[in-house]
Amino acid sequence: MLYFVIGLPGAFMRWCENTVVRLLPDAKILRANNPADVTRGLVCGDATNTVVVTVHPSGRLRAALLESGHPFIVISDDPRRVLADITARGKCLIDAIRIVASGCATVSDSKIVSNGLVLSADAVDIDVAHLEAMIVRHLQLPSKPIGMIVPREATIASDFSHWWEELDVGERALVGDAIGGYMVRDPQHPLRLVWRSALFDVEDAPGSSADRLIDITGRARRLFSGPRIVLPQASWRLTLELNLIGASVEHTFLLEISAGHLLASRSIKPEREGAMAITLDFQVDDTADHPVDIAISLQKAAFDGLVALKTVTLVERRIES
Amino acid sequence: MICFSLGIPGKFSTWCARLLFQVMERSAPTVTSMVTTGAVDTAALMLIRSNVSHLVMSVDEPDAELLALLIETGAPFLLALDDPRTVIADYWTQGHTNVTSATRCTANLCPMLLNCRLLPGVLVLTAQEVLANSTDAVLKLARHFGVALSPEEAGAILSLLDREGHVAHSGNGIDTIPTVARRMVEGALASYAAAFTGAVLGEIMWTRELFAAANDPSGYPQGPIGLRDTHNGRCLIYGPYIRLPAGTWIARVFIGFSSEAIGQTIYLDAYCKSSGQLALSKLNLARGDGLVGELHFSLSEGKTDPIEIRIMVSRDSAPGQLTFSHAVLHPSILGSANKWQGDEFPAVLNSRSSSSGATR
Repeated sequence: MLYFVIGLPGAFMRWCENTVVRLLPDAKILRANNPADVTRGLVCGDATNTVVVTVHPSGRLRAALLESGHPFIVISDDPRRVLADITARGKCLIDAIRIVASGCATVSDSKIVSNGLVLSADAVDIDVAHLEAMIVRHLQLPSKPIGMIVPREATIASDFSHWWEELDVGERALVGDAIGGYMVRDPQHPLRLVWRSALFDVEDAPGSSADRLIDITGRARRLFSGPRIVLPQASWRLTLELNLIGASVEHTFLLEISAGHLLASRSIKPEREGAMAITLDFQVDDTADHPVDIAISLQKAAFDGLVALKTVTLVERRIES
Repeated sequence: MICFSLGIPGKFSTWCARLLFQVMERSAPTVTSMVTTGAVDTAALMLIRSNVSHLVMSVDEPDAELLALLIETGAPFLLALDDPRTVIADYWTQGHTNVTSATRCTANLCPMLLNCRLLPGVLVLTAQEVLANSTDAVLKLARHFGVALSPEEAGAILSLLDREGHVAHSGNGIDTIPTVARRMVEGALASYAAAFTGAVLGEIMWTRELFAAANDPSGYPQGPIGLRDTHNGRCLIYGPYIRLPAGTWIARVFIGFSSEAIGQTIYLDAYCKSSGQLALSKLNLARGDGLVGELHFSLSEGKTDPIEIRIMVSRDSAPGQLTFSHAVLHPSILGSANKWQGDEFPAVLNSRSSSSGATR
């Protein structure tokens, strides 16, 4: 049988997944965010029970889980604490932001939250035995726990202020812009997120980020793309800010937003040098099976010109019905 | 657990899929379900939605993603290999009359199934093996999927399949198929039947029933075709859109022509979508009534789209007529003489042996 644990992948998530495994006879953990990963993990069939741990289930996986009526656990945690945990385990800050921001999108999903058992790492006054009992009841597990209770790691509900203070101003802004909107989420106001250029990659220089001027000289090609972060299912307005220098204003660019398939695109024809803002509306729904990827491409070969990506701002659109 | 069962759609593959279903049900007391479709994503979504412990998927035509997953994981899966000619015979006896289409579809599956025999987690079950000792076959399958099963339980499963009306082998042979279609079926599928039992893949013959005349695609090129009866780029005859296994091939195309056609030039080519034109051969219609054109080409792994062989004339309004008999394909490690002794070019229509051909 399959049991799902969804949410932010910090120490508290680890405690929960290990607890569920301990409560089940012959169980294993399978980390999967999409159906293909689930199949890959199940074809070898070496356990009776499988605990599927997912940070950001794809659109179809999410839809199948909600339709099935499977009970599942939702792990809520402070995103900064999870970032501190992930970076302490070796991930770079950029990759950690991508993972945590995607997880935030998942735990802010109202259908996921309303259909799952939400366990919060900040509920420090609830002892592990009580947490375990809640899990047993919700997942309808065998009532007699097997073996010793999994002790909570010291890092659960820990203070991450030291990690935060170690970040420089730019890094704090990067983190705050990408996840801050989730932390102050107010149902009365649309969600607003900002993705800075450091979260994007330069296509001509794999591994280097787009937080610099990019020389567009060369053939028609993709210039930069990213950040590959999941967004909550909603209608969105994107505002992309570019800085164009020199001959780059003579060229046409293509802005594409995709999540496994193309969601929206628009041609960009600059009018003058300097700062430029482009807006584009798009929709994220169950067909979005991958994190959101935003790409800017040069449409024709260029002999000269520079372009810089500044920010991408996303604001949830509340469409009047 | 998700278990896959692959095979040519037919009685034997259905029997094998039901067998796997029954075996997996013995391994877990919770409900097991069964579907028939062929995508990696679909398997997981089905398992989640149906809330069962195991899923048995019977796959008619596995896609590249599924094959890649089976290679990558080495997961155990079942490959049901029946004689493909028996599949056609069963198809005919069930009242389906389009034997040509069935032959084409079955021949298109055979290269992929041949490759699947080499995958790490495969368990091959053949109809002969099951007929020889069905209990042993059931126990072998159970062991492969890690299910403990006694001979008595295996017998109970076989009895259940009988009661459900599933049969491993219908007893229909190629003689069940109408005579006019037997040569086509035999030519396209006999080598695969042998290869499924472990033999080296031999010669494949595609008869004219599998091709189309350019000026009348609704039928096959039964008789002489005027060289001026072209269509779509001076094409006279094209087909059969059947896949071949990766490797190097020699195709020998048997053609006859009337005396009025002497002096004309025709072209043969082989084409597939992923690779484009594979080979081109220019033939001058000199003295004699027939000839065998050769095409040499290679197919890479992963680029095995259905093959098209075309016969084209070099100019418009060319005089004379042409007949087409068949094409014979050899994996290039085999050598074969291609002498043919014919008197009149229409005799090509009656050409029966792959080793016969016109001397040029």
